[in-house]
Amino acid sequence: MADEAPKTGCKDGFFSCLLNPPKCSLLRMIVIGVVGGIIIWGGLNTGMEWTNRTEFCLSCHEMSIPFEELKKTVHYKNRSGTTVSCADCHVAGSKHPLDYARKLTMKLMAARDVIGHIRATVDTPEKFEAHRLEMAKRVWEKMKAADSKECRNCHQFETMDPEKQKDRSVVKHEGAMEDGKTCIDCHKGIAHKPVHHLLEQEEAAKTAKKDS
Amino acid sequence: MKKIALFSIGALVAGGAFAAPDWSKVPPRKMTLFYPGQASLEWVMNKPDHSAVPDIVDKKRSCAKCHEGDANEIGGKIVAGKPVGSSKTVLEPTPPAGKVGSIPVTFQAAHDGSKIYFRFEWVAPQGGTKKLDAKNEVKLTMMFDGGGTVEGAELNGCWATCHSDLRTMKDAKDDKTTKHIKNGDLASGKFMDLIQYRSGEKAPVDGYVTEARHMDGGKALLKAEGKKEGNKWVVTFERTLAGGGKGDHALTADKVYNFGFAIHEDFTNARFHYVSLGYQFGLDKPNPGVKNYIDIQKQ
Repeated sequence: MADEAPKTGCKDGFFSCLLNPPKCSLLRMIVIGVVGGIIIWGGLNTGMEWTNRTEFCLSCHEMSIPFEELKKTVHYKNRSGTTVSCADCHVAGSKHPLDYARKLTMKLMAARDVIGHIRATVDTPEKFEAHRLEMAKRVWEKMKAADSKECRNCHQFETMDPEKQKDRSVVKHEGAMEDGKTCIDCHKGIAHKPVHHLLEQEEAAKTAKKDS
Repeated sequence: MKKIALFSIGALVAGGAFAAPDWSKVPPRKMTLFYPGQASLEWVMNKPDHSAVPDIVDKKRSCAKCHEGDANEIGGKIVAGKPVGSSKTVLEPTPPAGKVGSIPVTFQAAHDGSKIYFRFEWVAPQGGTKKLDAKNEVKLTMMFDGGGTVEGAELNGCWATCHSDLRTMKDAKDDKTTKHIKNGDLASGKFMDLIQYRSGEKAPVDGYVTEARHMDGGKALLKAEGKKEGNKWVVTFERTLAGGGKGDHALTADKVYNFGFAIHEDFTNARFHYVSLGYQFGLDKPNPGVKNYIDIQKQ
């Protein structure tokens, strides 16, 4: 009886409190654990969704630049009234349950945006333009690596109606399926100011240099 | 008796080659002719202007494959002085007032073993105000190669002759340079046979395009007739299959011929025409699996 480990209370020191079993029933522990888990996990997800809102993205004034560009495109306003939020394309919004890990990783990586905001890397239109191609390339690479998952969450080759598409779109999409191409290979520059022509110029300059 | 017999035989033989086919039995092909502005072959093959260049060069896609359905939209943009697609180039620096971007045309063709007949029907669109060729309200010109003898024509039809240095085009050096084919040559068949109807002239025009456009030399075009009924124009060509003149291609059953045609509506000249995309025809030959092929059948 004297060998039993003494049951300590929090007045014995913070760490001994943490590291020793509490004075409560298993049921209470389970209930607290489950409720706590729900609060934590719910909180995590709510936080994730809260920071996925377009309004949150726009709370950094730099983001009004690409947002104003998005407003001019069909991804924002169109005949059927469908619209995207920033997160739909930039945080891997996903319909597949196992993509949660990717979504979480991208969200954590987005902490770099906060650093960029603090360091005022793109806080004026001029600075934004200077970094635009670099930022675009990063997004294109991420999208290509995921086989344009963000696009395919809503758009799929199999459910395209050739009757409703222009001839040249039907031909191009058939070709893309044959060649194993992914959406972002051709559809760059559809949501914000296009800069993919600069990419082509860069590559042309690189090949010119190689040949010379 | 002998005279009657001879006459009857003569009539039978003559009846074998008829004056005109029964057009109600010939399947029509609806085409959209559009206003091309200054869209030369060089523009078409320039990737920053025309992103489909890899499709043309690598996948050998004909213009009609992608554009048969939207030629009217393209013409509408060009005639209004707007750039098309992802291009920044304006293809019509001086948009003509009152001109439409495209005309729907019904095309029919038939042959009878010795002659071939082409028929074009369209409704005259509202006109502009300039009169560049006061003599001819309408000109209809058709060009075709010798069955794959002009490089690229199986994809682009007449664009094989249309370059940016022609008169009225973007890089024009003078007002005389006419359509030409690079390294065009009569002897090797690398030329376009050109036949034309002019509403203000009686004689049909039968020429060819090699290093320049020649409006004579051909013997094959027998008739080029046109009639305006109300607002509707009908133009027909009657041409021998065998050809035989200078710059005439012989049309035979074993080949697939690349062709295109253009209508100079409303007293226009030079590039101010409505043009067809590149098409192909063969004589009693089933479709080789392309969208822009027309089988011309014996009537």
